Amino acid sequence: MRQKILIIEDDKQLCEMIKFILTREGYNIEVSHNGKEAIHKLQSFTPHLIILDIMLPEINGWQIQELLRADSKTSRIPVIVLTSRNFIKDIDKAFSLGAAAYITKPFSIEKLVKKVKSLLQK
Amino acid sequence: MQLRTKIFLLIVIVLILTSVIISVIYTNMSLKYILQTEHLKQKNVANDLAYSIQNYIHKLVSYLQELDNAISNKTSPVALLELSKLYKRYPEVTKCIVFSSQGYKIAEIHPKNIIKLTLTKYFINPKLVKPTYAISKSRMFIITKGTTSNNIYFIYLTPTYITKTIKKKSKENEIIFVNHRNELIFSSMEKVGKIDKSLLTTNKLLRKKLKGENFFLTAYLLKPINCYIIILTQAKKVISPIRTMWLNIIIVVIVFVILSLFPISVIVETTFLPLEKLKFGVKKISQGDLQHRIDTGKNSDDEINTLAREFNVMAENLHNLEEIKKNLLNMIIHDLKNPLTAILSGIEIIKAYFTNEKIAKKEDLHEIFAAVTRSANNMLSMINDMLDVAKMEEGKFQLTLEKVYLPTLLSELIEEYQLIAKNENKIFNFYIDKNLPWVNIDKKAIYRTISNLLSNAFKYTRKGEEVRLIIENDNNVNIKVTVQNTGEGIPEEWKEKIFDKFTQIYRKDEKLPTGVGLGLTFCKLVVEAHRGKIFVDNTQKGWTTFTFILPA
Repeated sequence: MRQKILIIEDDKQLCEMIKFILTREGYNIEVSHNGKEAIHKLQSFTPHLIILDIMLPEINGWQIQELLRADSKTSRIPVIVLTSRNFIKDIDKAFSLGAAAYITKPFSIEKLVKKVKSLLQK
Repeated sequence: MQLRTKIFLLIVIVLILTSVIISVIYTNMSLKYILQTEHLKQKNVANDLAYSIQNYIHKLVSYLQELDNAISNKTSPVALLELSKLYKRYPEVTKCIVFSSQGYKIAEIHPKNIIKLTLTKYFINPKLVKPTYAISKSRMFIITKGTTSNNIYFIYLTPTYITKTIKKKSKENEIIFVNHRNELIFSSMEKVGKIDKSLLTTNKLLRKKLKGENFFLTAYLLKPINCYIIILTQAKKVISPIRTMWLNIIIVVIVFVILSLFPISVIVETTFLPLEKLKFGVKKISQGDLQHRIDTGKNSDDEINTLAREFNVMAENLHNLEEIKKNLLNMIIHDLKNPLTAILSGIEIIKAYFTNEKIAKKEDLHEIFAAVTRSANNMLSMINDMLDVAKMEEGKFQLTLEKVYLPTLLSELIEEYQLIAKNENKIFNFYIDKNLPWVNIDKKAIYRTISNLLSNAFKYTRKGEEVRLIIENDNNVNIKVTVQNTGEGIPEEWKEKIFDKFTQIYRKDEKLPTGVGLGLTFCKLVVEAHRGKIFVDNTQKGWTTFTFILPA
């Protein structure tokens, strides 16, 4: 069975790129451009990995991380935080909220793919 | 020196000066009074002395008249014996010479009844004789005419009575007695030497130096014997109460100043407390703590509080500017990095296609190129928004007005969003009034305004939900454009702020729907440049609605 990945990111073109490359790598990709919509989606869909932006409309990435951690169904899903915020305090916050990786934009798509692969092989 | 120390010192100095000035005025008045009193006292002493000396002379003369009366009918030797009684009563009399009424010397009587009868060895002009007195250091004489016998008496005596009387009186004051020739007859002080004429100004209190010491003195003329009595008092004795007064005043002033130091310091402290707060606050603000606010205390309107309030306003403005700067930075980081990331990712994929065809197929490249182009266009429009907002704010943005029929202008835009709606599984509906007036507008600016509003609406619309564009004829006067999407509306407190520059970051953190940082600001500036207005309309529940009205 193909492993499922949820991308929560409000830039549609960027989503398209990530979706394209990860689909080629053989993953099943779901996309959400909006925090609230993502939360809604997670009630019926449990991905193996989440790629999460922080600055999102309606519900931001931090809140999504908190919600994921609070729910036993989702608390074990590895989260790659993908954001343009590169302040140390943001990085610390992401890890303290349980992030598995922190990648700042702009990033190399190859690196992202490697990260995804290494997290999903475990 | 600190300002408060200066003011504190100033108050203390003013206090001391005031005390000293009041003291000087007071002691001067006191000195005047003391000198007046001293003058009166000296005058009294002089009067007393004058009285007793005059009295003595009068008594002597009247006793002589008595004797004259007694001897007038007697033979000369008996009469002379009678006259020698004078010595018993007045032992200081040393000699008495009797002249006849014609002026011839008759006899000379000495104490112990030595009587010399002489013939005219001496002669005195009887017409010139009137009561005469004279005095010198060793002796004194009195010439008087007997009223009964018309004899002329010449009496010599030592001035012991006078000196004794003066001595008695000179316990409190020094007294100097001088005759008409300025010869010293008596002085209670030793070795005064020759008396300066200037001391003999009568009835006036003088201050003079005698034998190296200061004196206050009053001279008094004893008319009948043409002598001067000078009453002197040591200046230090007169002034000593003033000295004590000064000493007391100094002590009182020192005690007063020391006691008032505490209340003064309290007053200065309370005055300077707000200033201290101001100083502290301004220092904090100047060190970059722009969120610090100076405690302005109660609604006191004094200068310091007003200044503090102004400083708070300044800090607030600076803080806002700082926030805008921060937000601008965040906006650039976020909003420009996102499409840039997409572009870079696209390039990476395209590159990968050329090195390893497994990763991407040729037909996929269309999609990638399209996405990269869209991202680049997004970036461009964001940059244009920024530039245009800056231009409009500086007043450099020129509208190019043209008569336009809005549905024609928008047809391409509508098609574009219909495609987006289809791709994103969203519903896009548009309602355009058939009877629309032509409007005089800047085509490009209005096109981008509506595009911005639609792009925002799509961003905040979930799959399966709806976005609407409504263009209505508003009384044939205006055109009303409404862009709405299903949602919760904009909270009342954000209705105005949402059009401010760079509020996006707050809005994201606070779960508020919005679009690009400057998109709405751009819309507002464009609509207002057309003398229209743009606002959030929350009247329809379940919809987030932006409306703008353009005058036809």
